[in-house]
Amino acid sequence: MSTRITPEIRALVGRKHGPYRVRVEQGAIEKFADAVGDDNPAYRGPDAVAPPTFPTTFRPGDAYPDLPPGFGDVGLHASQVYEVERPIRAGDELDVSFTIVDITEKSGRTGDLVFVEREYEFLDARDGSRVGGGKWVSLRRFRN
Amino acid sequence: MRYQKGDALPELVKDPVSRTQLVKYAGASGDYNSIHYDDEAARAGGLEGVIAHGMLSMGFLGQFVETAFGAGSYKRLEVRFQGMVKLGEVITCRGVVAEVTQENGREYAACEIEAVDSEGRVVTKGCAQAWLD
Repeated sequence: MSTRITPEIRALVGRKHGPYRVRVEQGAIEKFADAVGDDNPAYRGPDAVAPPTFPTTFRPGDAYPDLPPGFGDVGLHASQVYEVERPIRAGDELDVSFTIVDITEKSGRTGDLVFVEREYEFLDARDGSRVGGGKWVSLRRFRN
Repeated sequence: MRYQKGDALPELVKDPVSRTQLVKYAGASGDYNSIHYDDEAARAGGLEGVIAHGMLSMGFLGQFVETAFGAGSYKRLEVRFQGMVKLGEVITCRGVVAEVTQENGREYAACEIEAVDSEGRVVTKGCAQAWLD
């Protein structure tokens, strides 16, 4: 198969974005829990704990290294990891960064798939201690 | 409850996934990929219609784990998105404790978890680690 991963796309591997500062707000945690349909009182109030997947909200506000728009017919999510050293709470300020660690491809039943694997890190802005991190693998599909 | 190896976690059955929920989740998460609210955009991408954010199903699994072990108990959550969740789908989360082990003197449970649709098809599957204290 001819590769979809051109040298320009290959060059994204190793690119880091950030760190960018994220303020974890009580209202944002509550809205997130509401959207999931989770009424746990621990995710509400000034001392709210963030639900496990809340770090999905830690999005960069500006352009970040990624496959070009329009690459593939559709963008989907392949897999995700989050891990924390301690619970994330309302009032936390985090310095978030991520690095593209791999780009791979395979031919699936429905077409060619190109996967982008990114690793995240969340540091406490107060003292630089590690709060957590994760892995985000997205894919773009080219239909047959 | 004190979980041990082999214990099943209490199932979580979610309300049917609605378009309103997907719009709320888009706003709350910041994921505005239009395949999650616009049928035409979804069809242009080769899908039958709008699908839920994979992360919403992972959010359900997060709710499931912290309902069982307590808010703030999770240590690690890892999933693969294996199937798409369509509008109206009722998702059930289930899991079992695979192992109880320790890190720095603290006990945690490692669990196999999955989210299945109303036909029993696994849409999202993975493992969770949660502190027991």
